Amino acid sequence: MGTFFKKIFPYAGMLVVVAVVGYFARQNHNYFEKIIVEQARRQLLDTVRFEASSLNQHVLNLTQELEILSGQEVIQEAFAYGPGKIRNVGFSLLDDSFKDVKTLADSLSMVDARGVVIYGAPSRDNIGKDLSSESDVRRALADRHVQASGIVYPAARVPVLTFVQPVLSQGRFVGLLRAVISLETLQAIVNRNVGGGAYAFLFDQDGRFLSYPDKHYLGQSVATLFADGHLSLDKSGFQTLMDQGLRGEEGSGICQLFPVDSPHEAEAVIVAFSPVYFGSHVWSLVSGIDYDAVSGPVNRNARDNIVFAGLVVLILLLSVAFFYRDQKRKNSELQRLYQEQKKNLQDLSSAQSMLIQSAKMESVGRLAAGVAHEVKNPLAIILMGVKYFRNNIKSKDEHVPVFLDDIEGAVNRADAIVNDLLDFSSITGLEIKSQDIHAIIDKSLLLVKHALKKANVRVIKELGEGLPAVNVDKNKVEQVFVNFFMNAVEAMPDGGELRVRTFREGAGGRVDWVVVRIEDTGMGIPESVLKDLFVPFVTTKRSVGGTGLGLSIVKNIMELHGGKVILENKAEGPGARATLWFKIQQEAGYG
Amino acid sequence: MAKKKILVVDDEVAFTRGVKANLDAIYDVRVENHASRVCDAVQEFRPDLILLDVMMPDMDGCEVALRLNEDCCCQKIPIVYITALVAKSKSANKKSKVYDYPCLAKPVTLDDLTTGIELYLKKKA
Repeated sequence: MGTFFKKIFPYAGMLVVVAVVGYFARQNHNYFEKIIVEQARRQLLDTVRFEASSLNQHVLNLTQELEILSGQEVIQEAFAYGPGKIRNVGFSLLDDSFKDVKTLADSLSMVDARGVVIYGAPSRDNIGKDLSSESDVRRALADRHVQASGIVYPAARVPVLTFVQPVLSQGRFVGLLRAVISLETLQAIVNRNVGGGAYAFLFDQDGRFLSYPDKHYLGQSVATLFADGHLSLDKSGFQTLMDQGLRGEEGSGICQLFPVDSPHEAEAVIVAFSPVYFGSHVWSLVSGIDYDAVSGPVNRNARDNIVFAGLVVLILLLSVAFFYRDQKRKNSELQRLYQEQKKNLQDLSSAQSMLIQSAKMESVGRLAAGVAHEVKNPLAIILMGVKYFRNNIKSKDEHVPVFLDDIEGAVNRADAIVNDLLDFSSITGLEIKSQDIHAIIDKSLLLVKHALKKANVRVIKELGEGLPAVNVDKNKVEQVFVNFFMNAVEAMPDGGELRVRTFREGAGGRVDWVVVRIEDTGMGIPESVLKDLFVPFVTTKRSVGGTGLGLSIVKNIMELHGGKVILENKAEGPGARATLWFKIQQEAGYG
Repeated sequence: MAKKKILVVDDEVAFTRGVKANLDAIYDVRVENHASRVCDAVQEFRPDLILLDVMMPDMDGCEVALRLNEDCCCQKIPIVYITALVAKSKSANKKSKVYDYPCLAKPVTLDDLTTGIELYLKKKA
């Protein structure tokens, strides 16, 4: 589990980083979108305000021009002449008078007190027509006041706006000056300065379009647009703004439009409106711009940022993965080196302890050699003396030959001890070579063949297959095996079984062994010596010349090989069991 | 037939006395307890075989053997080391030699000693 968490930790960390970056990117995006939209709203309001003032100026210019014209003599006289005379005077004079006002309206006409057109510009087609039935003309003829009409539908059914100026000549009402502005023209004026993806429209206080991008709706009420199914909207938001506009207020806001063909995809629109005055009428000039058109750059920027951040995160993830794999590789390499070093250290430590042991044995060896020399010389003297007495002293005392035998026996025993001591101490340098343990066992059995046969001991070999080679001194290990085989023979004076088994232990582990197990069916080891088996001079065979150094030598040899030895009684039955562990050197390979 | 002459060289006086006492009946035995006097003793005694100890205080047996070997008169006299430096099991092997000479291990029994002497005397002959 620990490893699993360790593995996913870098990735989990990256995900947290991505989440945090994403969250802050989103917050940042919202903040900038808000700022940009707010800027756009203000800009739109400024534009609408400017446009409204421009329209107001236009209307003001028109009314002023008409007022000036109404005071001009040439105009007043023209009414006095009537249509026939005007034609005689020439339209050119009037055209000149109307020159400035013509740029402010689509058409201009002079209507006499009866409602008949006596002059028209730029078209002369209306001259002679009776307009008294037109609502604005009729009202002006009756009221004789300046008036701006709402939307009127002249004979052509094209919605227009009119402005009528009464003309008085010497205090007497003589006729009207009538300027006509088509809603299309108004639309052109409105849109003249609205750019950058924005659009504009104008509606009057009845909610009718005085200008609209689609001229089909000119003169129609705003409600028609929705009734036709082009748009539905968030009624409250839109209506609030609309009401403000209808009241002639200035303002701005955001509302949602829902295209009927895709009602779930709301189109947000930023709108701004400002009042326009036309005579007694108050209009509202509205300009809108798609919210998306404004927030688009921010969104694009956010998208670019996300893509960039994504790439950065991807590169980071890849780097982390690469770094992790690289680290893993380095770790395993380090681990390998560590194991190698550890093994080297173990080998060194083992070699060192062998060296120390060897040095110890060497000094013991020197001591033993000195002792041997010093002891053996007196023994030789005793032996020579005994022999002399035996050959030359003829005593009737029956004890004399017995004592001479005892002395000779004691000399032999002392000599055996000294020899074993020399043997024990001579194990210093080992001739280590890679050896097949089974070959050593066979050779050792061959050496004790006669003893085995004489004691009627049957040998059972259970040798493991494919055991690796071991690095040992062949002669010393032979000495070990012979020692155990001879002990077994001596433990089975009436015959029995000697079982030799080999197998491998701890394969693949930290320490790998080849194990040799030697079992007999003899009398076993007396309890009294069981714990001191490897202590020098502990023996149960002193009476038959045992020195008690054999197992000490065995233990010494095994320790010099870095091995182990255990000698015990078999739990399952009579007899002893010796188990010997030989370390497998990794370099030795498998035999 | 005259007895064979055996020179016993050992710094242990008691040992040479014992050997002489036991062998006197069979051989003409002369004892020398100082290694440095061996050459003179050999010149004088002309032994058929020399029993030579190895570890002696004034001169070790090997050097004595080397000197005798350098002397043309003594070259052919067989030398048998009798030493406490080797174990009996090793000296029992008839092929075992110390510094090119056969050896007998101390403590040596009289039987082993006479057997060894006879063996190497025969070889000389």
